[in-house]
Amino acid sequence: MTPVVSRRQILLGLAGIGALSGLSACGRNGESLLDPAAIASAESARPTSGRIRDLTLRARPVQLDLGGTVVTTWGYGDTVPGTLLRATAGDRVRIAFTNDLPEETSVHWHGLAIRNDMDGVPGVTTTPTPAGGTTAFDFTIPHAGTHWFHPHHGMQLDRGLYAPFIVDDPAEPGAYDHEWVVVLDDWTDGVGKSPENIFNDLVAAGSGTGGMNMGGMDMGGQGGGMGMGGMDGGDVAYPLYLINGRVPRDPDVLTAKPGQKVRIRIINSAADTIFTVAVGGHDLSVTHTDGYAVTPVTTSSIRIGMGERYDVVATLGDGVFPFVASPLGKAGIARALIRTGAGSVPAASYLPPEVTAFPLTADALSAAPGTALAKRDPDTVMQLALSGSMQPYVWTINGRTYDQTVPLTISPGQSGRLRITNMSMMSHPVHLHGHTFQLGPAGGSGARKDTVLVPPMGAINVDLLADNPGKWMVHCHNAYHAEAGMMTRLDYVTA
Amino acid sequence: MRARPLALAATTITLTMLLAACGSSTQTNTQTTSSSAGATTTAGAALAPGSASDIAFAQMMIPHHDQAVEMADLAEKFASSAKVKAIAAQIKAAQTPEIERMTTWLTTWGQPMTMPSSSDGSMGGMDMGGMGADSGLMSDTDMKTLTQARGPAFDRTWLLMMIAHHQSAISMAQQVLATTTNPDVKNLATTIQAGQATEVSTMKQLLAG
Repeated sequence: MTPVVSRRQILLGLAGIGALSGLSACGRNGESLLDPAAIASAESARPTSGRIRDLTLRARPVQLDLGGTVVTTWGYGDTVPGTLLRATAGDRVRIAFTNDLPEETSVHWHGLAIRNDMDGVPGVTTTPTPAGGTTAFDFTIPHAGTHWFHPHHGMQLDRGLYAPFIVDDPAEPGAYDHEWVVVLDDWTDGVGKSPENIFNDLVAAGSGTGGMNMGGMDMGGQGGGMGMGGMDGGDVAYPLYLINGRVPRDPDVLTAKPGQKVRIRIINSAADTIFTVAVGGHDLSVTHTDGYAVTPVTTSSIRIGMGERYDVVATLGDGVFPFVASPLGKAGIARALIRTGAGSVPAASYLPPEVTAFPLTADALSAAPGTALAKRDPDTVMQLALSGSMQPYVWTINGRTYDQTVPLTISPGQSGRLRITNMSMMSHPVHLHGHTFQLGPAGGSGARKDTVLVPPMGAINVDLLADNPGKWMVHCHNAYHAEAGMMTRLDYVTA
Repeated sequence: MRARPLALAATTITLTMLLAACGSSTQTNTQTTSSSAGATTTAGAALAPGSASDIAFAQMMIPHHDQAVEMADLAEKFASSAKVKAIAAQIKAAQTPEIERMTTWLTTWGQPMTMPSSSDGSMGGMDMGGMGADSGLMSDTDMKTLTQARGPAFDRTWLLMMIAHHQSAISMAQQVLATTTNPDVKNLATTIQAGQATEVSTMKQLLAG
């Protein structure tokens, strides 16, 4: 998700980065901050448990068994999804990261509202970790929740470079018997074209004859790798969809007893795929989204955009039940199984009726008591217009690709409103780094989120509190859209 | 499933039939301007001209409201919770006069009831015509699923669908408010935005019940 331009920045070296930083610093709203003192001050203000956890993480080529077909991909540790990291809210974590990949990379801690200089965005908050190099991360984690991490670097996310980061709540009542982390993904590496080739083909197809602006509508017929295109089918048809790195006919299995409660932490790590998830024969009680508690709501299914997380609790029946993730607008299925007793395994393609029920989305959820932002009118209102086209293959925020972006600005302590309007025919999951905004007005009933799925032609207001100084990415979490320019920044400036 | 299957063409004859079907006007001349239709607008003043975005707003919002009324009617029949029936009745009571109001605008402005490029509204997502191509309607499949649901499953599905339906109406109102200079449009869009946001809060509480 480092765009083409960031590669160019890297080629240009520090001069290039300096030139861009200089541009944003010239904004009439004051001087842009990546102010070490302000970042250190915000860090020291974070509540702490006094505990230090030393963790290690290694990005490296790994083997992945896709139901008998073994592919070599890139992952964290020895598996896909990679090494699960775990801490408790308030902990200071020191993560010794080693890059054993053949190219440079970065690690972004998605959902963790941590100090800006640890956010892992090359060219903005950090320098990349070179091939064979190391980076020492050191930050305090303020909030509990289901989070994850991935590279903020080109199309690397669309390989196997993703893993959960679970932050426990010291006050968690733990009213469940099992915890199950379920990571959804769309998969091509080693079985289809590489993510880089798919992206290059999208760009090449977009620069072909005609030049008609299709407004996000790929009318198909573009050849290998392209999806049904447009609408919510994403831009890419994948050969496989995975849950916890497994194909449907060789699924991950949760073994439990009838009547037990399981907390399922669902993470959509896909690059280009929105999923609808459900468990056959079960209702799901939604308890959290993007790490924050909501007033529990019972549903049959949930629609989950790229980068979003939902925690649910289910009381298990007796038998064998599929956990299904149906890719929106695409052919295929991802699934895992829950086994509590005797029963035959349903066919790999079986879609339980729950998954075709009208799905819950975040706008049906309410922030749990104590989790809303303080009620406050916005000090600043920022426009975020999403647009793009397949021909040429360009995706923009406020009419600009990231290399030309004019960052949004906010002053420390301000309340800010992002007025997100989607001028395209596709849904876009909009992700803000370093903050967890509230849907609707601050102090209202909306859920706290860091990634929100904005429907085609839809408009959503989200409010945030500027309590974490730095330069923060705001972008579409479709990795192909981000790479094609659909990113900007929220920069803190002096008042 | 569409309440207005004849809205395919923008011809005068079709338009007249539609108007009659709405019960909102007894006029036979669809090209009439402010003299008569204006009488139903605020304070009897002549209706200000509608810009392209005002027209698109009304053309999208009328079928959107029609569908909300259709869903409210289903809740009246099938909801198991009295509170769901009550919010459904409230939604129908709010939106029925709003449909008449917007129908009057389009009549006064001499505009068709539907966007010319939109065949039946549910295909709105395929429209390449820029703003308003997707009017946030529930799909026929979703409506069919709702029609077949019963008991608490009906209530839950209805609430999820109506919350999503309201969110798209609020989005449309917000977008027209960014451009409109017409006081009637501004007034109605503001009412829709605030009223439906309050209804969403109520429906979220019922969903979490």
